[in-house]
Amino acid sequence: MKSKARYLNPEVVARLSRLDLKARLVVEGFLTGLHHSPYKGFSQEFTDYRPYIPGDELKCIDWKVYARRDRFYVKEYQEETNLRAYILLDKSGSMGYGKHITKLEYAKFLSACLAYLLFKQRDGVGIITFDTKINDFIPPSAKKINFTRIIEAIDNINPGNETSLAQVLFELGRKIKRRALVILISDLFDEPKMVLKSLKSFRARKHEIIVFQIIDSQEFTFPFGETAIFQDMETDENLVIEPGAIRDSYQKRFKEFLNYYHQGVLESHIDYELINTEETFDHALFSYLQKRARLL
Amino acid sequence: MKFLYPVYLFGLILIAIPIIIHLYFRKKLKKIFFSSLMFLKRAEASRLRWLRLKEILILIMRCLIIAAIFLALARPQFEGGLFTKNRLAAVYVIIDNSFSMGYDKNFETALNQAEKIIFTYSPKSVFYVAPLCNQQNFKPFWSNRNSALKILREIKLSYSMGSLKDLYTRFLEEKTELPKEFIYIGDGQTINFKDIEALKDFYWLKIPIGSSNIVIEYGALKNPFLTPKDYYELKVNIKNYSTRSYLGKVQLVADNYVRQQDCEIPPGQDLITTFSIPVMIKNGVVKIDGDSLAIDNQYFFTKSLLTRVKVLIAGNDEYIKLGLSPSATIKTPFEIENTTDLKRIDLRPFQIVILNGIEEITEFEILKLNNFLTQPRNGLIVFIGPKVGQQLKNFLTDCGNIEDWINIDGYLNIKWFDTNYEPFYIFADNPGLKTIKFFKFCRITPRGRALARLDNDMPLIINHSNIMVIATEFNENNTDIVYNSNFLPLLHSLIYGLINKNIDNEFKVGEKLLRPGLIKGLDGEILSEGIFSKPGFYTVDSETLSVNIDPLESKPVTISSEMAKNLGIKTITTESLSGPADLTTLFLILALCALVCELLFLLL
Repeated sequence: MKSKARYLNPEVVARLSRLDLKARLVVEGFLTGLHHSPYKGFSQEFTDYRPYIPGDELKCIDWKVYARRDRFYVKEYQEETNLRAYILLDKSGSMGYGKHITKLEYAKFLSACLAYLLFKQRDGVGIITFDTKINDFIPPSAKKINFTRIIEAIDNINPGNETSLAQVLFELGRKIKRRALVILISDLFDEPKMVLKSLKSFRARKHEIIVFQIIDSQEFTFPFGETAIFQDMETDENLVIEPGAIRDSYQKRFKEFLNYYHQGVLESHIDYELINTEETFDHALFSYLQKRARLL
Repeated sequence: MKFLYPVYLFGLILIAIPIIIHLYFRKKLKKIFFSSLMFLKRAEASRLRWLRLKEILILIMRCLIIAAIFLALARPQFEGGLFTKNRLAAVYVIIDNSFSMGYDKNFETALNQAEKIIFTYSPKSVFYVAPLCNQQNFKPFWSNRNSALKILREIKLSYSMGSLKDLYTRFLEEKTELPKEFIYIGDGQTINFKDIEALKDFYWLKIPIGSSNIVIEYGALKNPFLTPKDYYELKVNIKNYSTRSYLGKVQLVADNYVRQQDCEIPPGQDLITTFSIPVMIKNGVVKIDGDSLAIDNQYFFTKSLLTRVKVLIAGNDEYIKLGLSPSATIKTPFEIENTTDLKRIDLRPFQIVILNGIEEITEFEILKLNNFLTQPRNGLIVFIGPKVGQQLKNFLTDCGNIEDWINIDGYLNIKWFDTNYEPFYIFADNPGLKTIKFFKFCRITPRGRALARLDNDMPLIINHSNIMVIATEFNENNTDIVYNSNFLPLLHSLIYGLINKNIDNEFKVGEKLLRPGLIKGLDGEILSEGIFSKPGFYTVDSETLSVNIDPLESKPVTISSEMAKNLGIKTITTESLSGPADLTTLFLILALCALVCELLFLLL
């Protein structure tokens, strides 16, 4: 159990080579950590028996097994849903930043994990990658071949150009016609007002949204000391900066930026998770499962 | 600017070090890739420009420190711009030795500055060194530098005023192949520039004048036309030219007679104080507590008090005699005689001769009268009668052209009196004299000074030298003056107007005694030229004379910079002549300041 749980650590995962393997290990590591998982048992396809626990519905007791064994067992079924999920992965230049692993790498693992989890639960899963425009668009499907394509697409992602998050979201809003679960994985480094507006437009089309805002710890703390030339990873713009002189001001503005999103998504009933790349994946996965439970 | 050790200037190359370091580190600055400059830009916006500026300012300060240190090591020397060294010229160096230069050490400063100026010229230059005052005792000539310096040291402070006009005129007339320059070193009192309209090649080395001068302007008899009995009154005018109130004592010292009064004079104002002095004391000194210019703090007085005046009347003497000596009981200072024959009488005992209605005089009488009038204290009063002979007309021609006798219907009054004529000041507030009627009078075209005019603007009283002409005869047919209470004061004023000239034996420094006599100073010095060169007491034929400075020089009024500019004067100050200034300390201070600034910038 412990050996599987270590795959929840991003740094450990980063050392693995195959992304599908990474996703499998992470998800399994995550799932083995869940005791008395409430997320099993909704499928119509039988999977396993488990001893009766007080509180289980009586209709679930397999009376034939009781007759044979004189003990109460409850049947478990594999879930079958018509959930369509879109993973929106931001591959803009700013996502390429990170101290140990980049935000994009983290986002890729998280996307793969979520895709795996969704696939495993027989949900239709698709992926959309974007920077200033949409790069990859794989529509949702529960087939294994789709999952393989998704993993390939994620694997091939490299940091791109500037972000036009709001614009891309508006565009996707028009493309995704059927109600779906939209999982946005991005650092949201774009004009917050516009981004929130685009997310609200998703909500208005009855889509369910989970936003994972990926942030590197250095972006919080701005720990740089000496005067240096700072280069924008999206625009390549250079700026000579004395970090010590502006740290407080930077931190204040960054906090304001995060708070603005936090406040905005709360008001719009959008699920939002701020994720530091140093955090383990279970935090993100857990919040996804909570959301899924609410949906089903 | 010159440098004593110019080799250190090579050190200025080291200025390149901070610049190179700056550029090197700028190039070597670590590059950090960051997700987005969005927040940094916002945070930086206000500080960014300041940071860039700060970086440059620090670099400048570092360069400045190095530059200042090496410039200081090279010992920079600054030389005045106006007088460049080793100029070849023919130079007039005029030292203001007027007594206003006696403020503090102004005169010594002037001499020292003159010496410095002379040294700024080439040794081949020629100099004409002269004082502003007392030039008659000074024989200047073109000289070389050494002689000029010697002459310079012979110039002494004077007690008189001076004018630059004559010296400058002489300067203009000088013919020399060298470029000419005129340098005046002094306080620049306005009076020194009197009658000068434009100047060329004229330099004024300004010696700042003092601003706290107290001066005794004059001492005068309070009433010069009264014969004092026991005491006479001397009014003393003290002027405070200072910007502060003067609080001190004014003291009168005459033989063993000493009187002292406290006085307080607000800034810029006069104080007239009066001393009562016994009639036997005729001369003395009035002094005030000293300021830095002590020359004008004392006033030597010699007062001639009114004594009996011998008057000779030729012609109708009835009314004039009555006017000068109304009755035996009224004591007047006049001793009157009359004559019908001017030829025969000896005029020497008399001081005043009155011709009342005389028609004509002979040539011999003219000769006698002319001889009589050569004495400065003698005077002639002529009342013009109905007929005037040609010789009398000629005799009075300096006063005016005597024309015809006018009979009018009715009468005229006196329209105007010249109250600026000192003996007439008593009529200034007295309209009584203007009520006197004149029935007949003579038309005179004046050449002398008209002292009174009638309603038709014709002159009534004309004065020239010590002759007074009145355009009417004094009798009851021509005027009712003989019945007027102002008759006596008018006669007195006419007489004292004539004899009061030089009644005080008081002179000003620089004036010349016109009458012959051996002038001796109290210290035994004999004035051969007859010109008074310093204040004090002198004796001439056992008569005491007092000599004072002219208080005009005491007024601290210098020509304004605008006026100097208009005149074409190039003004220079002592600072600009103080020779090469060592700027080492200045550069060291500059380096220190730059260091402090750099530290401040680093802390900000």
